[in-house]
Amino acid sequence: MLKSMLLAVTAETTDRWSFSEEVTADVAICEPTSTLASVTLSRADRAGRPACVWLATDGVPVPTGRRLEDPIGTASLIAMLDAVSGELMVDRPAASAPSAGPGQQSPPAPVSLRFDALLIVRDLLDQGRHDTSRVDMGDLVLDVHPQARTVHLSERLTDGVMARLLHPAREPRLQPVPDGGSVGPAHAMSADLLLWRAGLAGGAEALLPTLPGDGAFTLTRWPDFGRLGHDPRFLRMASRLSRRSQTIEELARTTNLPAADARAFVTACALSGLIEVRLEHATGRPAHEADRSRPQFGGVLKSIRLALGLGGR
Amino acid sequence: MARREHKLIFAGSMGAGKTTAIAAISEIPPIRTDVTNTDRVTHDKATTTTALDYGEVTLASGDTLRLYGTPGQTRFDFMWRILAEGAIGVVLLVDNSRPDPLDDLRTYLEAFHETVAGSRAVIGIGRTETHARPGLDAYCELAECYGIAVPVISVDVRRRDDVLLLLDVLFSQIEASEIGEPEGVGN
Repeated sequence: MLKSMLLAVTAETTDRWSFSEEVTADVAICEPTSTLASVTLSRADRAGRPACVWLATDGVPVPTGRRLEDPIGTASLIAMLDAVSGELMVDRPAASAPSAGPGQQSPPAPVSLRFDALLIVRDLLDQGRHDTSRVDMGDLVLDVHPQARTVHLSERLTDGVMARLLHPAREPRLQPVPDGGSVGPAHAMSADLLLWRAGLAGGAEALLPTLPGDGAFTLTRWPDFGRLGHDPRFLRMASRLSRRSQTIEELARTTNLPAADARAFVTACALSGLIEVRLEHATGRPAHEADRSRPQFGGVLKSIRLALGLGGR
Repeated sequence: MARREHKLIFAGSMGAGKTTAIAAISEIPPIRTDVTNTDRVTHDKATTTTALDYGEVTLASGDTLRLYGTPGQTRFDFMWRILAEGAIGVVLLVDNSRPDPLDDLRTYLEAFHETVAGSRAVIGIGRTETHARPGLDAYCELAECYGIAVPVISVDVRRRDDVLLLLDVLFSQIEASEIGEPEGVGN
């Protein structure tokens, strides 16, 4: 319906508009309950587009920001599009302003799709939906079953497939999967494990884009290492971040690990929904501060580790 | 120099795997005090620990790490506090297949509150493969109700590696709580 409305109003708007299903569009009309909404918002934060407009439906809470009432009226749609046109004119360099119409402009600068598909999986799990959703990345398809916390990949997960998940060939598209329709993708695995591994693999290169690079991070709870696997580095970092907020640099310094390890761990925890960001730095948890009045076991723990063959610290 | 003894506690409801966990790491055959289980209503196993389980690990210094498994039945709860006295830490084991595993944990969080609140505890949840609910978040939220942030990890204590993981997490917590931050870092 929006597509036909656009065709009807485009003669009356300042710029000529066309319909697009890509996240690289200039405007995204978001349903507050949509899984893609948070992905779109995080993309807008990173790339400066699209302009997000909430579709306001009776009885559904709408976040703050620009909104359109549902059902959408012609006048309000024109007003919204013209308002966005004005902002786009301001944002663009003067030389390109005359041809800045959303339907006419040159292709937007490429924006990294890194983690987009995985953020959609994260959102689907958070919503706890009962139905199955398909994340289509063109050459790779991922069916997500939030209730079972499993995913079905169209290919066996290898390093190469993980790289394509992290850097999709095209914008991931979310589609419903009819009952019993999960035919193509055949390689099942835990959704939590997929997100964890993706965070470790992708985070070594760059922090999850939804996280502020200079933010301080705290663990809301420990990762389930019993399911996810672990190594001593993870335990060192988890024990730090569960007690106080630290930036990536601080975490690396206090655990004596490379920054890439710290970045990967924080990204994996964030994709697993376990990270809290503290923008005001240095907000520790006083209740957990070192208490010198308590018995100190550090010395004997080294001996016990040695006796049990636990990773040296 | 006199040899010292150190103590590690494994606590949890009946059938949570305390005896199995101790057997996984003890260098001596665990001393078990299993007798006939008279409480077949709440847990259908033939024997249960009425006093305690005991195992040992000898450290390089000649010191001994003593491993104690507390009796699972709450009527023996007077022993829990005695055992926890002076312990390095406590491993709380929960059987997720029990009728109300969250209530089980509540019992042990209260009994071992001082040790748990002192960052000297870890919680291992068993049988999550067959009983996914409650999830780990529910256990974390329960601990938070007591003002406690404690690691909660799903484990199968029949696997020695999982028991070692619990201890590794426990020790990491204790070590982090004892390490002061370098100046200029954090708070």
